[in-house]
Amino acid sequence: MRSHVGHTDVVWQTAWNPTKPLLASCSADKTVQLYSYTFTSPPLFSVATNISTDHTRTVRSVAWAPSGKALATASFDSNISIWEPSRDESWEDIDAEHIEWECVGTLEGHETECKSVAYSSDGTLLASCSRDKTVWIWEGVSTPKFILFIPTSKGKILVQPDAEFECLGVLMHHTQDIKHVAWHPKEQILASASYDDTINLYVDDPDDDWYPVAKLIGHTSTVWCISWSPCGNYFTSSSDDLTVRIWIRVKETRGDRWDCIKILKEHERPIYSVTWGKGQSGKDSLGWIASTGGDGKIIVWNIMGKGADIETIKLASLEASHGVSDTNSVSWCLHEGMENILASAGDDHTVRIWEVIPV
Amino acid sequence: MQLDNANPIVFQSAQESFRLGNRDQFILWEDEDKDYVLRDTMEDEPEPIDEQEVFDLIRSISDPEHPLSLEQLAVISASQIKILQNTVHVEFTPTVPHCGLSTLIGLSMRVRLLRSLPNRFKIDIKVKPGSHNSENAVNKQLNDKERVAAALENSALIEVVERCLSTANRRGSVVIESNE
Amino acid sequence: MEHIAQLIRTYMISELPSGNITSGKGTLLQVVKNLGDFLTSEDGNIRVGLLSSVLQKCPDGTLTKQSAHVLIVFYCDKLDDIDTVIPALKGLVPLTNNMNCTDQDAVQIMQSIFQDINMKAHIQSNRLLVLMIVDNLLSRHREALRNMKDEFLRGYVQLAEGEKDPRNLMIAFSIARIILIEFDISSCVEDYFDITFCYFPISFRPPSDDPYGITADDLKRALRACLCATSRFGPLAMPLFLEKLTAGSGVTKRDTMQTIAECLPIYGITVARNHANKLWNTLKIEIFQPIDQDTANCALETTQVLITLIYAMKDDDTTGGTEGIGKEIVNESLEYLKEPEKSKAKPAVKVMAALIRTTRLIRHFTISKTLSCLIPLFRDPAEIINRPATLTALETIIAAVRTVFVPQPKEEHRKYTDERVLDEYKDDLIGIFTVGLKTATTILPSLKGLDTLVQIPALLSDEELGFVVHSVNEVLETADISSDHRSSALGVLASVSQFAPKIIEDTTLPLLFSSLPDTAPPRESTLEHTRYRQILNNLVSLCTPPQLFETFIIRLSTKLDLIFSQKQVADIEANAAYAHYVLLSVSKALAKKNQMGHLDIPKYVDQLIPRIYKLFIQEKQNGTDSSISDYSQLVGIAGKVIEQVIQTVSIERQTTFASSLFQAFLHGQVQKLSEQHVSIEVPLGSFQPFTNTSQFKLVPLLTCPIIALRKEVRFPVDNEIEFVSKLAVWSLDMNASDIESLSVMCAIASIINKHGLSDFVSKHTSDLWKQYIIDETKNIQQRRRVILLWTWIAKALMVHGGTLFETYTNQLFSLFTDTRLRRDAARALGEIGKGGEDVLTKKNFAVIKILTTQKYFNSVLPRIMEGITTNKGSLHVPLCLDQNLSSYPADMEQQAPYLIALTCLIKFIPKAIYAHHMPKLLPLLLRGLDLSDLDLRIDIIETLYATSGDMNQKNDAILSIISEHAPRLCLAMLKNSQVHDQPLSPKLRQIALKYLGVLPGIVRYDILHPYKAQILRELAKCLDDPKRDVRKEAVDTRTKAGKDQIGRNLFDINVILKGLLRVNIDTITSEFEDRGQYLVRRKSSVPGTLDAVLKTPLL
Repeated sequence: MRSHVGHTDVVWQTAWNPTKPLLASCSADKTVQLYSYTFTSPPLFSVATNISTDHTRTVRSVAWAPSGKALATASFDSNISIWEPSRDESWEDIDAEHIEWECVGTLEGHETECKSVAYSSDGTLLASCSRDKTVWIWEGVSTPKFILFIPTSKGKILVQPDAEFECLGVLMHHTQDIKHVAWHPKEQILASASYDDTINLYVDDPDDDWYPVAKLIGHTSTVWCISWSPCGNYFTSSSDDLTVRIWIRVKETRGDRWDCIKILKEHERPIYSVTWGKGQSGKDSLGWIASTGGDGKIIVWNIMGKGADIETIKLASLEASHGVSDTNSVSWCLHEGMENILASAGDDHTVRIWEVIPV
Repeated sequence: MQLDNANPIVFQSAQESFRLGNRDQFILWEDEDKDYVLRDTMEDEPEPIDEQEVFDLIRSISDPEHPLSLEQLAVISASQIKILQNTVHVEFTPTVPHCGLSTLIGLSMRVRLLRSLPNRFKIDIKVKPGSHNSENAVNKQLNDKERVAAALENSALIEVVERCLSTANRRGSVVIESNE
Repeated sequence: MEHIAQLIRTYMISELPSGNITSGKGTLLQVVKNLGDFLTSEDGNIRVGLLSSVLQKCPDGTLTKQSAHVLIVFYCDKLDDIDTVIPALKGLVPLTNNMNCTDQDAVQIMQSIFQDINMKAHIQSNRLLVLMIVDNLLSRHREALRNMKDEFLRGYVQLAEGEKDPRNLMIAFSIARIILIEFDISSCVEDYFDITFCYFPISFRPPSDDPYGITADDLKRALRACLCATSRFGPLAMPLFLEKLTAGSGVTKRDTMQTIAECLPIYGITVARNHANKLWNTLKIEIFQPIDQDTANCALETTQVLITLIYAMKDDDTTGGTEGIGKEIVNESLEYLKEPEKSKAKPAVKVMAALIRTTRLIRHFTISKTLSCLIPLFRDPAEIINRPATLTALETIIAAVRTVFVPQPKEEHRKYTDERVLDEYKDDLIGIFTVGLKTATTILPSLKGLDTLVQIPALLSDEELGFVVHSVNEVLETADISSDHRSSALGVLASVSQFAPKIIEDTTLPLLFSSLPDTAPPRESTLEHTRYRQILNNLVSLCTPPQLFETFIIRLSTKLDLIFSQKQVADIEANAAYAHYVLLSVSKALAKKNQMGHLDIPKYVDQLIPRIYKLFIQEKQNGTDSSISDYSQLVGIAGKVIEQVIQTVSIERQTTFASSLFQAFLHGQVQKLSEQHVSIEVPLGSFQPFTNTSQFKLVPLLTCPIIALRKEVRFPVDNEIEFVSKLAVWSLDMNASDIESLSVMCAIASIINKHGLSDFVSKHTSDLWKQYIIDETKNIQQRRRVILLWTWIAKALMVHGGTLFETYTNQLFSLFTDTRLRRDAARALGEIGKGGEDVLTKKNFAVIKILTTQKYFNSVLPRIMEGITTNKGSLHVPLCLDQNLSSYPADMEQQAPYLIALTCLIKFIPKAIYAHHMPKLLPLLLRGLDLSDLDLRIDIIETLYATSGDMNQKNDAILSIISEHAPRLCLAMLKNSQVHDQPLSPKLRQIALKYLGVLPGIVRYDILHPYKAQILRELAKCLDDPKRDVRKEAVDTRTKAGKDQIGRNLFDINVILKGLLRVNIDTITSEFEDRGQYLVRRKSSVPGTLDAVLKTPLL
């Protein structure tokens, strides 16, 4: 385990670059830190760059485009920023540590704090959510730039700023603060978790707009986080009600149904984050789930089984992952062969890297 | 502006917290030089943070509407504070069930405790069950760390909070008003 | 002539004003003549400059009426010339102050100024000149100017208009005030209203380095003086005031209300009446929805003024004139009083209280209304839960009444007997409050109420007082020890004892005395011990009046007899402690009486003293086995009591006493100490305190009274020197406990101080020194004793004045090389600074010259400074938090004693003496903080804390030096406030935090701001300190340090930036100069965190 101090304030989230050995973390100090690492075992981390974003308040969330070539940040200042390498060498030969990131666009539209941002599996779509009870879906449009007028929640006209992004829709199907958005790993399905205790799933109606296909009720308090299983047939959610739940997708002629098939109750304080990775338990494993929260505990489960009949085997449980502080986020490394590497972010201003070795 | 509760009941605030601690330790030979006695006894075993101490931290926070302390308005009392290992539970009672400022009061208390307690403590702040119309809503907000974090970045809000906290250091000692 | 001409030439070249002229060697006439062509020179400054510079130096009288006139004319027509106007004005200033400037001149000057000077065109300094001229003329030629009528009035308005500079405003305001009061401004009231009220409310923020020291308050007061200068302003002013009241911030509001309060009486009753309603409507908002207490109080005072004014004359006419605003206010507040438990009730009561302090008429009306509302309320069974609130309200009302009738030092006070406002209610009130005593929740307010009640002179009859006392006694009996009930109950009784001691004596005292045990409770029953201590304290608080004190002494000495008589007690020490506390109480009471200047103390030399001696001496007789008088604390306090009494008796009595005292102690003739009714009987010769070690314990009973003997009282000994030397030897006798030895040393000091004894001082002491100090083999404790003895002798000589003490201080310094004694010697040097403490005092007739501490300080300081700097070594004090304190460079080892001496010294001497040395001292003290000696560090920080104490009356020298070192101070404090691996004393941590807490208050915001983040981070650790008190301090300090407001509003951003650069370079250079870091540091101009600043050079 290694601990990285770089931030001068609470660290909220981390995200692994899908293609390059890069880890991004965002913090209340309004900056994003990029760490590069080696493919050795254990990997060695070093601070690559520190992006001092022009966000005026906490940077709450970071997300990489599947290509790894773009980074999105969501901030309490209600804006989303998009960052891309400033030099246009071909992505493949850039050396991860030396990329300079520049802001290529700011997406304005949310009325209050942005809480989360995510890229769709094919990288064409971006979703963001906010305390203003809306989820926005943006489409990356290639140049020539143009300005687009579209109707918004309050029916008023919104002007897109230097829009390489256009807003495809504003979804207002939660009654409260929306905490987190997550895209299906393969299809264009979006899940959103809310302070109103529910989870919504949305799909795109070809000849209309985005609409919610399901509203999942079950959690008895704020749903903080959602993470899809690598196969896409399940997802897991974590909540203020101190439970982690696993939901399965049931295909039906009339459309899909989503059922909660497991409730894991192992935490003593709000569970701020779950992450579902491939893991290293062979092919009959559905992967590993890690969860963490206000109790600072990190718990790792191996998920075995088929269909609705799955079992969860606790692989590891770690107390006080960030000392006395809360742990705000966990995320699995995506890199081939490093699926057992976990990054966590905490109130103690640090990012920590863990290696899970099943015994 | 229209006050939520224009003329609330004022309660006698208790005397300053009185402890039979080292300070009041008995000395057979009453010594004039208290200070030197103090210096000796202070070296004694640690005094863990207890409910009374937490209460002292928040009892004198001012109500946003009145120049009165939360204690005087019986919004909080020592008995409404519990400490279990590293968790502090604070329960408070809004002056009126519709009090729109409950969240603000709660926030003030949270800020005060965040600043004044060692960070090993987790803090839960809840309104007394049945004492507020939208009890759950208030509790949920006060304990949503993300919301609180965002709130603390809101300068307007923090200004109000600071005003409420400006009296917090009195710790219940009664304000000396020039009784002309 | 020639001579002058030549002088002038030199001046023209050198610009040196010529002394000879001023010293009268030449006449001005000659000057003017010789100025000749210069006077027509192109350069105006030359034309007029010399004369003016000469005049400024002219002693009054060098000018004749005539020449003054010539000059004035000369200057006046220079006023219109742009080149000459300034020197001309410079010339006129002294002239207008000159007695030979006539009224006509004055008028002319004013006219030409009005005509030629356009203030707007001039810079501040010139405008100031003009105003000074006006001011001079106003004070010397007021009549003449008055006769100018409008010409002057309007003219001046022109001058004063649009002035903005505080320096000029101060004088402009004073001018305006004179005009407003002395001149008839009827023709241009509005103009004068404009040039004064346009400044209201005046807000001014002096620059941080304002050399003129004009404060916002000075301006405020000066302006107010104008606003309330004439009644003519009234009609114009009130609307403006009201407007400001509804708008402005808290500050404005307070300023406005205070101003109104001052102006109204001047503006007069009509104005008051016309605006009464409007005014009250705004005031009541401030009272009932106060933004803060101060503002509310201002509003109350203003209300009081308003009402007093309006109803002023109505007091005379009996045709009840409460009609009007006063009545309305009462009724309005009454509504709130009906719910005394609600928050609005409190302000309501205050309003009533304010009204009670107005006029007789309103007072009666208010009281009757209020009481007839509250009294039934209390009785109403439905309102029982609200009784505490009701009682508090009642108490406030009575308290107000009391303030009206209690004799004030200054203003003539009203007699209660003239009005008897409360008579018709007093039965109810007594009833209510005594009922209140019956229930726990209402006891406190009731006691408070009774206390106030009994303090209203001539309200209660003796029977009524008796009844009150009786019911309060009951509380006393039931209330548990150290409950606040008990203390406030005693408060009431104490108040009564002032008017009617008899009642207390008959009822309360017996009660208390009877609850005193005859023998000490077992030591483990803490409560019992606290109990008798409480009771004794209670007695002390009650028994100062002569009558009561007598009983007090009689009862207590019998108690002592009892305690002493018990031989076979289980726990002698507990008993001794009890006896000790009894005597301590006597001593406390004596001290109080002495303070109050009671004259009944001397008689106790016969009534008390012999009994004490009897107790101890006889007690010592029965067997030498462990006895209660073996406890030196007990003997010590007994001695103290004797001393306190002896202080107060006449020379004659002292002399007789002294002889019997010495007879007893030196020759064993104890019975000499007897008095008619107490005889001390012991076998002859059996009392030999100086040979019999067990009796040696009683020596303080000899030494303490010696201390109190007058200079004139000769000792009944053949050879005083011998006697004192004997004492000296005894004081070093290791059989004597520290207390005994100290008491002997004090006696020695007292004798030396009063009787000189130069031989002893010069010869005998040096023997002792050789014998004990030089010989390092002697027992260290004993050598320490010698140092203590030296300290006391030095004190004796020091307060006596002169320089004799230096021999002793020198010897102490010489010990700084002695590794085992250096610290004691160092502390001793500080101790001396304490002076005679409670031994060599005026009360004890010691010879005390003034400024001796000052002299002492000046004599040792240089030596100490030298000691520190010569042993300097590296000036740099390592300042990283992780640095381990337990070890420090050897060179510090030599500095240590000097630093210790310095700290102790500063700790003990008054601030005034060392304040201006602070710039030198602070760096040294900082260094002391890195010594391992915890107590020393505590002392240092306590000293720093003390110095910063009254910063609001700011001492620039200290302030600036502190600012300069602020960052290092902060770090040092943080370092001392953390619980590191090596445990610091909690006291150190606490005081360090405390001091850290004051810094943000006294140091400019921009200096500390760069370090704020780090300071807060470090402080966070202290929040988990094992000690509660330390945590408390940490929380408070952290709050203070966290405050951004401090100063932020005071400094616009570029000041801050400037500050940052400057401070950084200053502190850094001062730190690293002599480490060759100077240049390196210069480069870094923007500070990072503290470590960054301090560590980079170490890389």
